[in-house]
Amino acid sequence: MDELSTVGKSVPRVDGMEKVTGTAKFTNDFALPRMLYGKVLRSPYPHARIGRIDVSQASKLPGVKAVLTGKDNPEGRMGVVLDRPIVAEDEVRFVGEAVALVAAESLEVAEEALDLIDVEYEELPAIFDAEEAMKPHSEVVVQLGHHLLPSIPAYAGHNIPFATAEETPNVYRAFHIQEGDIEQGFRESDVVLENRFVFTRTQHCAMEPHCAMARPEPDGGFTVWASEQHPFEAQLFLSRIFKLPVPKVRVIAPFIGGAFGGKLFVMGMPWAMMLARRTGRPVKVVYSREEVFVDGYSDVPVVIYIKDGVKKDGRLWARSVKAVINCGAYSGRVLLLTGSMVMGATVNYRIPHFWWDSYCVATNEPVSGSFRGFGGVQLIHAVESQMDMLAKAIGMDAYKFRRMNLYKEGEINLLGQPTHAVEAEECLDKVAEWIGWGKKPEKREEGPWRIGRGISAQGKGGLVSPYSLAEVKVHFDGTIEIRHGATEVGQGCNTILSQIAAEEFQTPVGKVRQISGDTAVTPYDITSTANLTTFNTGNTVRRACQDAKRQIFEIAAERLKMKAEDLELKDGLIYTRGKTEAALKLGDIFVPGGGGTAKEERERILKKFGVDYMFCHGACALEVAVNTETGEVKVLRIAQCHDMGTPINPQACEAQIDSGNGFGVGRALYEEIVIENGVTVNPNFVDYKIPSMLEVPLGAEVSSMLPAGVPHEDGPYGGKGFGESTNCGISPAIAGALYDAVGIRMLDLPITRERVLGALKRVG
Amino acid sequence: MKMPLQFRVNGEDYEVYVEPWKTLLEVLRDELELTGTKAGCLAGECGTCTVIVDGKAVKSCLMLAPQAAGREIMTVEGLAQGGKLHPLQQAFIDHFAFQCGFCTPGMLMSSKALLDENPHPTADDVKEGLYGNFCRCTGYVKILEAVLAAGAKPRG
Repeated sequence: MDELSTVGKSVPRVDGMEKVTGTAKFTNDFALPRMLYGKVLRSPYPHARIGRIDVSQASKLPGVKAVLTGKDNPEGRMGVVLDRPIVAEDEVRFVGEAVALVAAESLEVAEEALDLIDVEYEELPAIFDAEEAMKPHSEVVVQLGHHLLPSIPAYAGHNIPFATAEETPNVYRAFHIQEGDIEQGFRESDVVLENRFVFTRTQHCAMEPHCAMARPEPDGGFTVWASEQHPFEAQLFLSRIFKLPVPKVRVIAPFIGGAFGGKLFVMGMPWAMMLARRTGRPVKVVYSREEVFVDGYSDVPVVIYIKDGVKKDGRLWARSVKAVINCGAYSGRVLLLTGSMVMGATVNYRIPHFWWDSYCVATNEPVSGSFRGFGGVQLIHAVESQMDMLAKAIGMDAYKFRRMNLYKEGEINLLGQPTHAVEAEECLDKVAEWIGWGKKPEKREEGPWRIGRGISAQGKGGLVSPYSLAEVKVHFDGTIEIRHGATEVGQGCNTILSQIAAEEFQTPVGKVRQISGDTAVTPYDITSTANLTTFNTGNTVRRACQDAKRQIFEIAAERLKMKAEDLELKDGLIYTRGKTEAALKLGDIFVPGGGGTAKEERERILKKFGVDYMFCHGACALEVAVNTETGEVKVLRIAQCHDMGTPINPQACEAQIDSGNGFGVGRALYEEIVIENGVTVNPNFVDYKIPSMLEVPLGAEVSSMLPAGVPHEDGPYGGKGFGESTNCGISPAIAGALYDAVGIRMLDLPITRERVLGALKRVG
Repeated sequence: MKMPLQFRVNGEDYEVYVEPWKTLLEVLRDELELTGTKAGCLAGECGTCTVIVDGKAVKSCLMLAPQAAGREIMTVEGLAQGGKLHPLQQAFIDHFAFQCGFCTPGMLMSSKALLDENPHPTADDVKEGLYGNFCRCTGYVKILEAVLAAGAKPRG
């Protein structure tokens, strides 16, 4: 691996020039001739029957071109199990649900028209608390027939799905896994510790609000531009919703202004398409920031019950977890999370006796969605807080206790998957060393401030998938064009994939051109989520490049009357191995337009992989100061170390680790969507605080470290993804540091000043 | 209802006819088609729409277009001169100071206004100057590095 020329180097991001000059185009930066503006009238009630809707005044307003209601809905629905109508029909089930759509010549007119629509509602009883809603024979039923919906195939480990029952109509899905004998495990433990953790709803707060623009095409299809992480999934859903052949819906995802799991599931697109279908004109729908907060598929509120047993010598012996997940009024993507959340409790630590139950419960809150970590933030906070408390209970150091329980290379984890190329121990060692774990901080107090330290470990799995495809086209001038279906949401995938192609063709990154995120011209990709892109799309790009090279060498060998294996490529020139003078130019040897596809490679991947997941681990250590008079918590220093196998671009990897700091600090200390009787009361950046430059440690107070880099044997050049996990370990480390500083243990998030003050008062 | 509006943007004179309730942001994006300036919240909270008006960083979603009459405005499109990147732009590339790129135009304009006033800022100066610009991707670590690096260079 030592002779790599591009992979492993911190080459500048390939999207830099566009992004610093303002020429990078995001969906809302496009406009089309004759384009109309779409707006959505949203329900003010959490649960109500819809009576008469009078659109006559709105329709008469000059400039209004269409006013649509649920009666105009296409046949299909949205959501994992296709349960959410595009526009509410007989009932509304959360505050913010779409009730009517308007298309008008200007945004102002569209907004004015919304005020003129008159809707009669008959309020129905609503339910907001998931634990309440999952009780048998709940008086409020969010949606009839939830439990009759088709079940989602489980995608983790020893899954024993059990059907949800008639008497619990609000339970959408339940998920269970087990190992060993949990009761015996607790009986054999020396210490047993049980706690309940509560997590409120948070928003991704990508700086770009959601946007979709749909253009009706002459063949009856649509072209849709959208801030969408998964254009191929969107294409499939939209074609089902509108009963169109799949290729007649073309989805183009331009640059995406941050996603973090919040830009999935055809958001805004069906509304733009309904309006475009009715008017025959292009329609753009842009979410306001308030709409993003209210109907932006925010992260799930979860209640986690966790009970752990440990032996006196430090061995974790038994763990049982029950998670109650507030899905909101429709299925969103949270049905999948019910299963995948289990990773936060199953991939880090060796536990002989394990029991897991999770329930996805419908309520009259807004629809929940996927969020960076996909349940990891909540579960890892609970697990790692428990690890601190267990260590204390048996008189062990929290760092040593974690370290001795981590899985080692080759061990089979609770998902039945081998632990491979994870550097969990090294990550933990590096952050512990940086923070000075075990040594006293320089200061323990200053005025009202008290200083403390915390540490955490985290792990997450990413699906190994053969469903990320790529095509490579070698141009006459030696430009290497790669076409892939992954989306550049900011994570840097276009840079990493360019580096891989550049490495294969021994050419500068600048000679690689990319076409991505357009369902009409790029091959399918399983999605740019869940740490998948580096590993899966990276592998496919590499293999497609190798396939293209093979074809080039075959042709060149024939021309040169040589063996293909004696040829090599560099900078667009073909050399005989060992010679310094080029034998041929790339352009000499092929008919323009010829290229390789990744089909064979896909078959090879299918045959090759014995595992379904690759795992990435990490650790965090930090120091906080707590103001004992105001309850304010400041993170003073933070170190994170995450394993990503071979880093394809070290500086871009560091940037991904930095990225978790802002997210993690916000989640731990500030972020919370407040919902009162179904109404989101803080849908803006003044009342929902996300960290600015003043609230995160910077400069020398931050260390984002990479471990040595044990290559993953199946990853591209040994690399794998990790960016999704870098926000998950921060809140438990903060909670640990708080305990260290002032002796209070905060179980729930966010750890606001009020909660800290309240806890300080309780301990006196 | 439209009124004439004359102003200078990125060194060019413009005369446009706009409704008086339009914001500077809307006029820049919709009338002048300078879409580098972004709309993130339309309430002055996120900073993605920051431009420079007569040397000061301004959130263009909070400025009504008529207030821009006769003023000199600079947007991200005006930063590079004669095909040469501004030192801040180069520093953002060199330091990986952007990811999704949506906050970048506003962040660059706030940074430029800061450096114009204080060419060699300290870390605290930068934090004070940029805390009104949110970034959700970078954790701000590399943005601070980039602005400090651009501030450390001699500027001409």
